Amino acid sequence: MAAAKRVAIIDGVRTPFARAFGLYKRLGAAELGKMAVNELLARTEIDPAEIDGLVFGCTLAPSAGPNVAREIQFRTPIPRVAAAHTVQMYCASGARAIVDGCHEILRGDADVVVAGGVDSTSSMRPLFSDKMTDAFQAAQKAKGVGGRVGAFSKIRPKDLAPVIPEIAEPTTGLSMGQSADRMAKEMGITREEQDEWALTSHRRAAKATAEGRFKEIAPALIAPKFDAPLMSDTDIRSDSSLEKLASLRPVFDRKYGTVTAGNASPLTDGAAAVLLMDEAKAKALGYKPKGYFKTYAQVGLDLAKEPLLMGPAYAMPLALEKAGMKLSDIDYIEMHEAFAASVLAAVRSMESKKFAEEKLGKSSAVGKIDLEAMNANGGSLAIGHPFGATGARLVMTLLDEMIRRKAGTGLATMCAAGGLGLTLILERE
Amino acid sequence: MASEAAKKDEKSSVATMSVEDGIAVITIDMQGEKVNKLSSQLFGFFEDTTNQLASMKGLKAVILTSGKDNFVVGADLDELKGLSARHEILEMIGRAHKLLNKFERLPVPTIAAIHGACLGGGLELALCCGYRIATDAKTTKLGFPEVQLGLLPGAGGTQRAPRLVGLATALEMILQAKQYDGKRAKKIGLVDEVVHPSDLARRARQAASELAAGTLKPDRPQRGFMGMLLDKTPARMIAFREARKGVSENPFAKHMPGPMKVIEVLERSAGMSLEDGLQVEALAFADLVVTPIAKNMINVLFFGKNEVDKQKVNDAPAMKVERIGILGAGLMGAGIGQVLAQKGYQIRFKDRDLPSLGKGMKYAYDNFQKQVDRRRMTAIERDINMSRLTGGIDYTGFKRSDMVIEAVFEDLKVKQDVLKDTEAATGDRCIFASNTSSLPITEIAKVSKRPERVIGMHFFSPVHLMPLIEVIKTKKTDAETVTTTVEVGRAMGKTVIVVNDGVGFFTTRALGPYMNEASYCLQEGASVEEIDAALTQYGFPVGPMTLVDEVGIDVGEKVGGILLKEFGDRMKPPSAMHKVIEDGRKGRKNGKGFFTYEGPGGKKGPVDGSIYQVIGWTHKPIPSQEIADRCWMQLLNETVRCMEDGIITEPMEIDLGTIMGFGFPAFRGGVLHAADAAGIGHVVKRMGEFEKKHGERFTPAKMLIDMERSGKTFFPKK
Repeated sequence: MAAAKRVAIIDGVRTPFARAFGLYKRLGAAELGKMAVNELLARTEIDPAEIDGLVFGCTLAPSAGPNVAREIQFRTPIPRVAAAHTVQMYCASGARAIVDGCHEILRGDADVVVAGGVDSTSSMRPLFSDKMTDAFQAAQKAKGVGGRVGAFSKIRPKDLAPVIPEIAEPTTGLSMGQSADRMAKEMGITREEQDEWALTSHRRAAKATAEGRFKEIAPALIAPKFDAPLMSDTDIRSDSSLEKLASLRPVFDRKYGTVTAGNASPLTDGAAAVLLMDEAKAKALGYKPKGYFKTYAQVGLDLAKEPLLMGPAYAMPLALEKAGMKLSDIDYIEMHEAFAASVLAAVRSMESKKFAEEKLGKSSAVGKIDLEAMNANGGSLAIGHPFGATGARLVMTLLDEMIRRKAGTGLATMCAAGGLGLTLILERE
Repeated sequence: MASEAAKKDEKSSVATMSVEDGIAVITIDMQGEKVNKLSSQLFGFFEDTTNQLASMKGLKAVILTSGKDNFVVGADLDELKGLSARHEILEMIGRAHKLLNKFERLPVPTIAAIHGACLGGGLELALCCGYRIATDAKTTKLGFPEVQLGLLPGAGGTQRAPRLVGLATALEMILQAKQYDGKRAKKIGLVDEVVHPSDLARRARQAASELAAGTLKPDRPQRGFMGMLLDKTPARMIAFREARKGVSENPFAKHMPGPMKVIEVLERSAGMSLEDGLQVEALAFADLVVTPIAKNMINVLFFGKNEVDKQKVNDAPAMKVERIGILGAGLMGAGIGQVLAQKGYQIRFKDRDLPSLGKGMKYAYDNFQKQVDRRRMTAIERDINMSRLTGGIDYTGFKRSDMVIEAVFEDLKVKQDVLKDTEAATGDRCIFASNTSSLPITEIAKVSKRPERVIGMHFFSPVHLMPLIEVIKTKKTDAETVTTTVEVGRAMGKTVIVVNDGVGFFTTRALGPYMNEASYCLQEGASVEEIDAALTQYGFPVGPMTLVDEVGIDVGEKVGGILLKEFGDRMKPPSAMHKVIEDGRKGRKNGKGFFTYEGPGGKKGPVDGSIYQVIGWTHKPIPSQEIADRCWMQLLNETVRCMEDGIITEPMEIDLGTIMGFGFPAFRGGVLHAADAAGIGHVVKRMGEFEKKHGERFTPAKMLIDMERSGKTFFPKK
């Protein structure tokens, strides 16, 4: 019998992540995405004609060209006859895009797929109020100048105020930060603990940057000036300290909250892309893959019962179960740091027998996560979090660190808005 | 074939007519031709058809369209070339006018349904229709290219265009040879509707019925108050004054008789009846056709260019090229990349550091942005073009290159080093093209593992504007490499001349003594202004002193040194030039040259008077004619030596090279046409005089002396 198909991850490239409304302000998602994809193609020297499809995750799809993957493809040498689709799973979009790509290859629908994620938080546009929108639509249909003007006759000054989109849950009405604050309270995670983790994240990321560990970064020459190439992520603070972090005021619950700008991931612009390939194809083309996709699991939480950002606590055990592995079989973990509180909550849940018994129906705790073998190069708190790109960023950071540590197995896990969670398990050999 | 000729004689072979429901459709479709041309054959068809239509019972409307993907691309210049006597030309024009008038006066609505090129005579034909519908296809272009060939629209264009679009727009259309796509043509009122190509035939029929029923009236743009003044009152003289100023300030247009003649025709015929106006146009057209300028331009820039652009350089088919690596993202590298990216090639730059790469990317971006600003490109197209330009500081992304073009520092060792690195980073079939202006390709290829894939590709700056590429093949370059390189050059929209390898190839070598001679004139006492004026008066777009500042005085010295080493004393620069170099003058780039500049690379100002002290100069004027003759005859002499050495032998390619490569006056038809016109005997005699006065650098090349003795010319005598 022929060996089962496996998906090889050849390499990954990302743009430096930049604070929103900053250096990438004028670049849309497609422009950011192309920077990562084109450099990925150059580094892997892949013949674009070999590429069967492009899958990209994007949470803030621009209204002009919401299938961002296709818009990116138009800006790359990938033949137009290859199809492209865009995945929306909030902060797990980039990882879900990789899962999609892997599935296409495993099913034999494709041999080579470029997968990744992107978000241009800077591109969020204020919206018109409902009444203004109605008026514009009526005016478009109206005949003659009188009709067009008439369409606006019912508009009152308050209707002129724009609606600024929020990073909030449409259903609960809570912003991410408010949810994180609640979760910290419910799980008894202190401000100090959160700040400490944030500091760890920044210090680790600063060290990794200084040592040149983020080889996946493609230096960015930014249109229209193309001067001052951006070499690394803009939000990493090497000079952060507990004192500085402690001095920040809570953002969401100003009186009793513990979530501050310092222990929450910043709004970020950026893109990341990986090259996925059927293992046999990779061998035939002479590639040395960085690793292989083993399995994944995704979960949705009942938000009436669970905190919003607890996805990893459920998706990790599920993925391990699917892989037939124990947590102790995993050599290294990359966990998305939406908030320091969400990381600590997931870590604690894994260690908790009570959590295992009550929520997972298991008799013993999932296991203890070695914090030295997790996010060794910092996480989203420091590196930044372009929503759609983070999942793909985790995969490339994970693979490089696995190679550095000679780790055999690795896991990437992330929470996402809407009470979603996703975990990927990768292997080196 | 005889049958072919017979077919051509049949009138049905140029166009057909069908009538259905009272609507006649004339479909122009010249058999055996890729494009429709306004020819005497087509005139013949129209004469018969118009007569037929004029007496047709129940006729409601006439639609004029094409069976090809072009409407009518212009007049048949082959026929025009055959006419030399003034009366023949007037006869031909008279016939055209009469015919078009008759067609225009058909008692039923006439509609031109236009898809593809509708230029020159084609547009004049369309203007005789009462209503025009064009497609929104990218290939649909309407305009008058005549002035570019030293002519003017002679089949009613100068009369019907201003009547339709107004005087100011018509002047712009004709003088600048502007081409309009469907949308823009609609905007100025040149067409009445724009439709998708698949709707053209149906809409034309529909419009024909509506026009016949009187339910459709053309909706044309209002001209406004100023427009009315210009069109209807003596205020029009303002427009003519402005137009004359524009022409006299344009370095190309001012030497051409066409533009001023266009203004004269429009001015004289303003307020005249159509018939009288057409008479003015006919006389002016005849004046132009018989000028040697129009003949030269048609011969070289039309027939010559077409031939050179299409000729097969050898039997090997071209390799498919998709990915091109470019070494060095400086002005040259970036310019090459920009043009290639716009034509769809994938470009990978390598430069020494990211800021240098960034400068190259910005150069390309800015050039695209200029097209966006002029609405020749959309912002998305700019972004997509930019997406084809990526780069790095090493050979990452070069492995699959089909071709690598080096645009690094002009130094043999540097070029050899990058050649070795490129060969290590790329596949065996990758072509290495060196963009050198003087270094012999054979020398560069000495370090190559695959010299058969090494070739020269000499671009001119700025790449996006200069229309020529000089391709240099060595004895070892294989045929596929030559064809492929030529095809890439042509895909860039350039005219490509292929020359054999040798120091300075053709263009640089021929230009060397020309530039040197200008410096000798300076050293002898002519002023910088006098020298530039002498050559711009001769017809060059810029004078040699301005040119050397643009190119870089240091670059000139470096290249000059290479030429001197190879060819000896005749290439020796005057001692004054050393002093200029020692004074640290590099030209525009360091803001210090023969002229003053607003800082390095800045805007050019007047002559830098201090240059005269630097070279120890006293003013001793040299007659303008003498300066011009000395310079262009040096250019000629070295050109002939290139022919003797077999660097380049085809006179038409040489003339195109001199016009497109360094701006030899186009109206003179290039350096060899200029020599023929001056008379080889005269040239040899004049050079003999200069030889006595200035020495051996003026000794005429052997071929010139032989030609003088045998009475031969470069081009066959008419």
